[in-house]
Amino acid sequence: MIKNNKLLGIFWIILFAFLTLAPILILILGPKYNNRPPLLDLSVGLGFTGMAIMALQFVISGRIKILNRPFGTDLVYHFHRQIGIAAFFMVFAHPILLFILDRRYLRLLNLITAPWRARAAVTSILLLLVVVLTAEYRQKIKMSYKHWKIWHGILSTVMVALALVHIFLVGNYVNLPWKKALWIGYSAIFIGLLAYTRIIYPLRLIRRPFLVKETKEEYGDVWTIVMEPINHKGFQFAPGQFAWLTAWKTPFSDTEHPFSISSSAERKSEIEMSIKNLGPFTKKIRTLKSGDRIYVDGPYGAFNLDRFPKAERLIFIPGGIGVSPIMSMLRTMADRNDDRPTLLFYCNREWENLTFKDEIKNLEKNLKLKTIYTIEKPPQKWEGESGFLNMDILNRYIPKEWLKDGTDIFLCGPTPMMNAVENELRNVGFAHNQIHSERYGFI
Amino acid sequence: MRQRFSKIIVYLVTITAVFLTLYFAFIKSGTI
Repeated sequence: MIKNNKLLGIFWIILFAFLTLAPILILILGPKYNNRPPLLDLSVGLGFTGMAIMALQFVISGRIKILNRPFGTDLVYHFHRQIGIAAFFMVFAHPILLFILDRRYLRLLNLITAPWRARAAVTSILLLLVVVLTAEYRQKIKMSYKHWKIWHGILSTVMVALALVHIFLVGNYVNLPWKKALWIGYSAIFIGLLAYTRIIYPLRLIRRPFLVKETKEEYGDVWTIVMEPINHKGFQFAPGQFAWLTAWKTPFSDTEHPFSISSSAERKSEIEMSIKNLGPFTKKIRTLKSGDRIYVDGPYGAFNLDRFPKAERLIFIPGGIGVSPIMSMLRTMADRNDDRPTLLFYCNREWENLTFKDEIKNLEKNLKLKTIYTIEKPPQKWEGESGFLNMDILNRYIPKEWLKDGTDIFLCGPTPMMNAVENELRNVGFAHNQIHSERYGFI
Repeated sequence: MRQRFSKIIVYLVTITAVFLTLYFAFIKSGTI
């Protein structure tokens, strides 16, 4: 077991590159195919590589904790999206190059007369097109996250299964035993992951349910659910991490949503999530009542305080409901009697809606914490900072000696705010490895 | 910054895959 995150990250990248390139490396190392047009080889090579990536996508998106640990779940999902687009172009190049090579291949597009190997391929590519387009333009076509997630899973599964059928039915490049073994291996990874994520993992979650203890209203249209494990120990999380929540349905329904944990990591008997009303699912959260059974899959995320134990000084910058994981960090620090100097730059649109403002005031008494509120639309007679958090405001409160190593910054909020603040922090003089954030704009 | 890292890996893997495929199709086959 590799414990060092950097080494583990390098190991995963090398393994991914190897598994992606293995089909083409095997073609290169294998015997020469005489009299095959180069365009055909190019087409097959790109198709194979694209398919290897598609099969591996089930590993990348399979929510495997040891895979997520070195990078953070957000980065793994960004990679899943970006490499998916690259694979899409490779797979798409496969038929296009065949059509350029010989127009007779166009006949294979007729699903009525085409052989099964071509039917499988054409259907697979059409599904791939739908999968990629709906992933890229989900918000534009106003498709709900819940429906998209279910269909993304189903269509991707059928698409990869059909592509594997196509590869085995064509059989030209998988006739040697070791080539066949490689593709049987990819199929096994694909089927194994499918069984794990759709059957084994939901079953495990069903055996570890949580009970809603209380639902509390907070400032800013935010509701906090307090939950406790039923007949099990729950899970140990680090402050700042998140978990996937399934309510009103079982984990088999694949309708979970990710939320940051807002409670202290030192209070192991119960977990809290503070959720802002931002959509159909989050709007319903307030209807959860004491005694309701829910499922919590976690913890996930590299955005956590315990990952940086050498930090001597801390800066927290939440924007809006981004305060939720930051509250977990502050509450944990209070429970641990953590006396590290801490600055909290809390950004929000309005003062009245500022979630947890009363509790933060209390935390200031127990921690070495100074809070600077930056309010976009401040009330009349507001004497604090207003507008957006910028270099001038940061320079006014951050002592110069904090710029050196030992200061760690945790940034959480809407993506545009995080991008802007990250630039401002770099302008102030902080190094990129001092700034920690996670971005969930893809959800 | 972290997203840029992800992009670099995507580019590296894609470019290597395309390069190796071109090698397989044109050089190994003896076309070039």
